[in-house]
Amino acid sequence: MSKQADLMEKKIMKRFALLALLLAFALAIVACGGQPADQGTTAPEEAAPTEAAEAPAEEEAPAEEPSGPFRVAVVMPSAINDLAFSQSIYDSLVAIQNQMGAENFEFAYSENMFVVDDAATAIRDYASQGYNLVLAHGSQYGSSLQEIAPDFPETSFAWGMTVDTFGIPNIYAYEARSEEGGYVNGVIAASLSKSGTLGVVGPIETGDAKLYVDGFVAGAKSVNPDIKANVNYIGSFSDVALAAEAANTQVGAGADALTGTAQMVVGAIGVAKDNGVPWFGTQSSQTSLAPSVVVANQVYDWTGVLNTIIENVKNGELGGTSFALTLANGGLVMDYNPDYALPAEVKAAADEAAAAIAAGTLSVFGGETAAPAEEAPAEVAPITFGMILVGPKNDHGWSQANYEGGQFVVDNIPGSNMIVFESLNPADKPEATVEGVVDDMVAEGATLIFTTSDEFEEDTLSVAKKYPDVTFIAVSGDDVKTGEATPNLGNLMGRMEDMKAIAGCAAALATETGNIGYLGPLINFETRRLTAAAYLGAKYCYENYRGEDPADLGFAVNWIGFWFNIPGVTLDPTEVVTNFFDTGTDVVLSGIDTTEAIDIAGQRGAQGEPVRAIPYDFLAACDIAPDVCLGVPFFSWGPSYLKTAEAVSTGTWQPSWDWLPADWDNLTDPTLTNVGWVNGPALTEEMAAQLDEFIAGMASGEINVWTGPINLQDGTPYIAEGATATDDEIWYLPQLLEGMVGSSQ
Amino acid sequence: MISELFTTAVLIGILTSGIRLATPYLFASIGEMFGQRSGIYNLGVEGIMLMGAFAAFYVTMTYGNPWLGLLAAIIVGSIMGLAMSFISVTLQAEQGISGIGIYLFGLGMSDLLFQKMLGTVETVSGFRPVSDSLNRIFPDLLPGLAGIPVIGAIVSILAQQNIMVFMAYLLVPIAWFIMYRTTLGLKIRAAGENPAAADALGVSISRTRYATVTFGGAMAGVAGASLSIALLNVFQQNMTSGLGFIAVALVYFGGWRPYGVLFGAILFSMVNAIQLWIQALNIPIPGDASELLIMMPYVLTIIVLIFSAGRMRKPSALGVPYERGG
Repeated sequence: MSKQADLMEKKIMKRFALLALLLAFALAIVACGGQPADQGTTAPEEAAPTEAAEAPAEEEAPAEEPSGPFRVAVVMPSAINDLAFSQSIYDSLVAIQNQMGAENFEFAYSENMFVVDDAATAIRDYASQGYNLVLAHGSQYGSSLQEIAPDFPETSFAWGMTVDTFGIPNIYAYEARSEEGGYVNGVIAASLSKSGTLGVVGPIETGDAKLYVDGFVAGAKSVNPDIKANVNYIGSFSDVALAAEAANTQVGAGADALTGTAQMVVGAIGVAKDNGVPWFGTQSSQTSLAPSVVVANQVYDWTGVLNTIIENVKNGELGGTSFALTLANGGLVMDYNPDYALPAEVKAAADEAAAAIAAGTLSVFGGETAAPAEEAPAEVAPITFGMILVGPKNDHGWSQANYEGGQFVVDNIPGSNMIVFESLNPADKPEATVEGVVDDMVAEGATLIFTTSDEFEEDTLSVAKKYPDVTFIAVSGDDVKTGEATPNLGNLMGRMEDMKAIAGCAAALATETGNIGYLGPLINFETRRLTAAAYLGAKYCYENYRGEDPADLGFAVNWIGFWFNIPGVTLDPTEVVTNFFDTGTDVVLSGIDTTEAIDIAGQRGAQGEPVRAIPYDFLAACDIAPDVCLGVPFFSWGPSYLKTAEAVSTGTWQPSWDWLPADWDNLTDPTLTNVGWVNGPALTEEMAAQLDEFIAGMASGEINVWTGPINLQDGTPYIAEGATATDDEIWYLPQLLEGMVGSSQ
Repeated sequence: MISELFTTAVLIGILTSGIRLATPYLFASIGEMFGQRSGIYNLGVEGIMLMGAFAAFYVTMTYGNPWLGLLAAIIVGSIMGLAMSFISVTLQAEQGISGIGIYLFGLGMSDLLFQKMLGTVETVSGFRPVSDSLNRIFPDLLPGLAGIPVIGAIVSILAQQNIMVFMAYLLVPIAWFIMYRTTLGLKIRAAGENPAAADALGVSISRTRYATVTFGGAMAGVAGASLSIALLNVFQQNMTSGLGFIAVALVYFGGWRPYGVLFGAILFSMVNAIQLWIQALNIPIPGDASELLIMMPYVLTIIVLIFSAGRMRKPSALGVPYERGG
């Protein structure tokens, strides 16, 4: 007997137990001669968890043992044979079990969990029974999962249909881009229709049902813009009778092709069959129900997503990512009924639409309709890309910010692959070169490579010439701006200057000695303008909020010579910061890739010294020493890297020099802004209020710290009184500014 | 535009849909009404419907004869009605709770049998629209009638229905006759109004209640069958989806009178049919919210209940177990 039949057997035994329990319950009522009416409602709640709890109890294999089978439990709202949503995940789990073998993969399930409370209990039970992965297959389970998952940090959870992992590290999210297959079905339906009217039966206007229906309508209109696609939402996922009547209504209103989504459509399919009207399915194959009328089905194949999640869980990565089924990644499969005589030209049109959607050249909602912005990744094929980092990927600074930007791409284009090369610098890897690393990455299939340091700029240009078919992004470079770039080379940089001005302002608000130190890396245009921006922000706030004379503000820059400490080559940043604090400076801003400034400030602060620091680059850098942290200006490469990867994947990429501004309304959200600022715990309420005012002023354009008069360090007038600096004047700042102490060259 | 609703074709469509949708409610509600008039309310209608739906479906599929399926639904429904009678009359259990127990039993049991005996959703060929057999026997009749203005429309509405729809509507006058024109009806009403007095006059309260609740169960089974072998020709877990509870509500709504129940069932179904048509015809509605339309039948039901609440009187002994001398 197969494992599956075995499970089925157990399932049925459990159901008998449930019945026995109900009967016992009924007898208990009798024995007591009537009880308060609300007691009755406890019956289902007691029954369902029993069912759920028993499944794990019968499986003895302990999850902790790595050699044992991988164990998955799934909780779903309807039945495993609903020909729709629940069946799709069940069938996928069976397929995985067949691939991996029953000795390596076990699964248990709880179906018909339409009561969310029951489902929550089942989820908790499965988790406490040591299942490696618990699937909450229904968006109504989300809030329960949010409460349960943190209690079981060793267990991985996944839920759908959504992209939201709640930021909880052991939750995965998954969804289906059902509009894609909906579009293909719509193309076929419109091609077959003679009456020019199509009928759609949906449950509730939300989630993948709405996406499917909207996609179907869009596909139909692409064939015949005048076609009438009438949609009935019946307000229920289970009312088979109403779904059937809705289909009758559609037929009565002239529809000669029908579709619908969710498990109650079996009623509508019966109507389609009785009337000989072509039917289009989604979620699972519905061909078996009405082989004479079912034309095509969009089938959800979760095996790819589940295999990825299982692989991740085995590698200790328990969540944090969301996945989408698409035609491109094979998660959505167009399944044609071989018994339905579909005209060849209609099939060809459907294949063409499916291929175009998969290739990303066809957008289901044509861009101008209400398609949510996150849907863009759906049409994007997975991409292999390289990420060359100057430092380690976990430096809590520049390199980590870039690495996480790449990770954001992987998360949002499921199936993508990032090849990382860390610490490409003469100190750590003297034998490695940009060219050699790129050679390897291209050999591994990379079609896009990010070189993420100004140190790599020249080498990137020459290697871009060598590989004209690979797209290169020289981060922080200006090749495109100067016209040197080849057509396959682009530049990206965040407008960090604005965030540095905020950092400078925070420093000026906090300093008690009136002396601010800036821990600089090496000297170039980038570092000069960032340092200058910090100074200008500090000066503005010192004058306008502190009411002090800006001439009294001390602002010293000490360059260590590289982006991070290389013993024997650079100055030791620890020494530099210590020296700052020892000589009357009480706030240090970091301009380097690593965390020495906040490290030292934290140690000194712990000894009671009134020192503060502002780290750099990485969103969570304040966590190192929150008590002395005034905030952190950070890079968030995710949005821009994703945009680039999507454009490369769909063949729409154009070289450009992008100096990416902040999203001022979402300054703390790394999924939205390119550069950002988060307040640190060391800011007092008063400072935070003043800083917010400053930020609001910058956001609205009222405050521009680059307003003249601004003189260069040697006294040369740079920006005239009343004028503001242009992008070029900022980007190519030739010296530090008057009032700053430190070398300019 | 809203005027699109008032074309002949659409009005015929609405009436056809509404008449069809009311069918399961009529069977279940009329059956339930008998039980309630005798003093027992059975909240297990939904579960009995599911069992009836499954029994009818399975037997029809196995033997290819929907009449046998209907018989199976009646038998299974009666057994469950009998079980309810035993619990509520003989054991005098709290009726609300035992009804819920019956519901859960039916829900779980029909699901279990479905999993075990069928395993997947299938279709069956149940009762066909009467036009099928009419066309076979009198090939010229329907096309001939279709030309006559009003009669043609009525005929086309009726011809699309199957035999169980007609049985459902026929049940209403029969129920009225039994309830108000027979001794049995008098006994039933007496058992629900003043069981002690009826008992004193020699009416067996338990036997009366056993009969009505068992009949109610049989009708609930038939209501399930009307879905699985007549209207939908499909069985799926929990396919009644709350229909049985609405049927119980319709008994209250109809003031425990057959024609009141008929009015409620038709009103609810017609409004449902109208909302389906409004959506299907793409008629613009304020806010473009399909949810508003979906709510319509329920909102209207509540409104009617509010305005008619004063005029209805429920059976005095409804829900009260009868104990002699108690």
